[in-house]
Amino acid sequence: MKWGGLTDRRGVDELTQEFLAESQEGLDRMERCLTTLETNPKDGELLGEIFRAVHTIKGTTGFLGFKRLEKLAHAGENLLGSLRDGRLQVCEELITMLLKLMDRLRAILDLIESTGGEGTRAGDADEDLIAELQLLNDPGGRPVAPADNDVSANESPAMRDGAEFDRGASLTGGVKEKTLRIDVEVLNRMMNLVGELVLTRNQMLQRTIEAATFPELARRLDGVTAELRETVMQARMQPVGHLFSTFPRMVRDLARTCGREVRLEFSGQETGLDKSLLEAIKDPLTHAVRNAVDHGIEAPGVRALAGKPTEGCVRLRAFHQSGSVVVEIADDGAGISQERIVAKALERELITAEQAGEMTEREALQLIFLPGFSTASKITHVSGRGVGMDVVRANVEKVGGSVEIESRLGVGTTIRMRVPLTLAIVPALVVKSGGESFALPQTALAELVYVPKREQASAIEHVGGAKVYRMRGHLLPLVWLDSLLGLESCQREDDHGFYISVMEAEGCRYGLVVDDLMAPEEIVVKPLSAVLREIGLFSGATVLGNGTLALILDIAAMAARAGVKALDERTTEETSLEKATTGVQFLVVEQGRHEKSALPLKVVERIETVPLRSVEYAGGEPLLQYRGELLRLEDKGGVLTEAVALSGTEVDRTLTVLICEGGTREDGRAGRRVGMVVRQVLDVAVGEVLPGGCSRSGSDLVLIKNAVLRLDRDMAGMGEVAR
Amino acid sequence: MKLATVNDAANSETVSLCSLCVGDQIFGIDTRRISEVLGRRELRRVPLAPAFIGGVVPYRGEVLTTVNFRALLGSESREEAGCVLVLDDGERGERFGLLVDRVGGVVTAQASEFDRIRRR
Repeated sequence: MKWGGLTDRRGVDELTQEFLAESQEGLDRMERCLTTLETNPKDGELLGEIFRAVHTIKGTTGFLGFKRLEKLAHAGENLLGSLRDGRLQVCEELITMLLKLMDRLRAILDLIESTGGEGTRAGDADEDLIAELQLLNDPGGRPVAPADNDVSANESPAMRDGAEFDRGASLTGGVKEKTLRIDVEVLNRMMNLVGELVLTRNQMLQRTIEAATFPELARRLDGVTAELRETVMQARMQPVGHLFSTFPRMVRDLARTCGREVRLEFSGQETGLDKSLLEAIKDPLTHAVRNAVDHGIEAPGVRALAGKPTEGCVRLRAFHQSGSVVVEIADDGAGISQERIVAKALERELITAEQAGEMTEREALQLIFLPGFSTASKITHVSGRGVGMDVVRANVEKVGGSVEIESRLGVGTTIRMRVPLTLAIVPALVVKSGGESFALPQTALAELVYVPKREQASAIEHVGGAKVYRMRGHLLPLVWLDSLLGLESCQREDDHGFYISVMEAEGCRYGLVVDDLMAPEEIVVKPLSAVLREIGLFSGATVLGNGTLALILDIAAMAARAGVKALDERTTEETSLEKATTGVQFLVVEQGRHEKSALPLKVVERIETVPLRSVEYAGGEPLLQYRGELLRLEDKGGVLTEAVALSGTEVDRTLTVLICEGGTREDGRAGRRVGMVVRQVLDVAVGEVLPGGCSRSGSDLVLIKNAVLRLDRDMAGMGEVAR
Repeated sequence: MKLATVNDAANSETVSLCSLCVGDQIFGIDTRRISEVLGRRELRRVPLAPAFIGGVVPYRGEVLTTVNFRALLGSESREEAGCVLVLDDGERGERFGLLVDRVGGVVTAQASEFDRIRRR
């Protein structure tokens, strides 16, 4: 049958294809307008838009010979004509009827697309709908336009009006799916940038590496490339609002079928998302919104009893968060009962009674993502048909996203879909394991721990065959990347330890053990071929700055492969609590002798141990070459001076340097990174900035673990960070 | 995946073939199937990949999966880096690399000179 459809589709000629695309787009517009019209009945422009959509379909069908479509569109047009002329008033019944008309039109369009014909079988008759439309148009024989039922008489004025509409519609009408509308402005910018790229290349070709202007050229190339990349990405971005716009209609219909009162609220419609991603999350999002209306929001009576307003609210929110776009569907409905979920899972034999007994709230909620799970006690025709959240999750994860659910009984449920901004570029940390480099998406990376060799034996504990690391009093399951991937683990002779990258994915938190950390990089994700995707642990590959390839690890898949489960509920709870309540984490360091001070952890990018030899001086100021950048070294505690004085006796002296981000300077430009020389790093702790600390020495005071420390905020912007 | 493209060439008069070596064996491949010869490249190995995958290599902004012809033939792998040919699988529109020991020259052959390999 599939095959038949395919050949037939080829039978649809180009003209019809174009008509289909144009009509679908017109109907999309109509849908948006209809739902707005209901709340805004006097808006003539909206009516015009709707009229145009139907009229265009009618006009073109006549000429392509789709009689059925023409008849139906005509009946609709008559009704809309009366509406536009003010002979009819917008009412709920009317809107419903028009929506019905729209659905039917759409169904016929789909039929044409798949079979090439509009279908004339008995089941395809539209007489019922046409009759209903006419009835609405002529309520109880009220005097309306003469010969209301006479097709040709009523058609002519509409046709005349429509002629100009028509032109407008075909000008803006485009083909869907494979094409994208781009702002000419964006295209021009791209062209300019490409021009500049060519110019820079030409100049580079004419000069040699040794030329004095080379660094400048390289910088320019860098700038142009970055800008070009951004512009191209921008061209692919579509506002999430496009997706949201289909929901008012759906929610309206749903609310009526389910007998709910639902208000739909949006925010962040302008949030841009790659077109392909937008399409990918369409189905999961639709499903989630359906669930919210059908299962989430209670019937008005129930709500009133619970002391809530009878009208429920579904909020769709889109926003950027650390390199990904989050789309949130929140309802203020009944919430999900943990007991019911567990009971249901038991009934469906998805879990054993034993498992149910030791399940935490978080784990119980995760159960709804299991295949074949549905909590609706009675199956409605809207949702709860067994295809559920498992499909939602699978679809979102397919594009590298994740789904979270939060629910509080009686308060509401929030489903959060996190999708990458684009499939193309992600911030990542490059790590080394078994002598090969891999990229970890920063979105899944929670924190990094270094375990020195001498502490290895004591740091790793064994719990029932699994290796764990005790981290701030909680157990973190460990996964060795090299053994998971079957790589030869390279034993290093020096006393270099290993790093634990704490990863978070799908409610799992585990420590991925790697040999070494390389640079954080913005990586361009390249898809892998099918045969490599099948391995299931890599989400792509990327070319690193040094020209080598690195595989991008799929954090969730690795957790599953290694058998890590979201076990330690307390851990995740408490850490999120920590973040939520106190906010700021500080790095406690010893700067001057026996003098502790604190730095907001956020500003510290890395802690480096550098040999004293590598410190250079310019104009008396100590400088450090760090990844191609010249860092100014701050030496407040006199550690450097001391070290230099002692260096005569100790040749291999090293310094601990905190690489700090510069923040924003007073003139608004991004400041340069700064290296801070400290005696030693003592601790990472949560603290609180004391209001009105001593400003005399340019520092605030901070309370950490009941001890007052000096907050170093010499670097501009740091004070803000701390707050 | 057709590597020896004898069939494709059967209809045309003359065919230009690129010769390539694996160990002491020599093979020919229709040049129309070759997008580019990359020369000696260090491949990035992919852990847990099937044995016949030689690794991945950056190619024109893509990550090219490379088939190790040696492994495909069941020969032992060798230490030094091989040559990578970029092939276009016309039917599926998929591009892949082929890792061989050495790439020879291009020879023009008459289609009529081809002998079919009979299946035993």
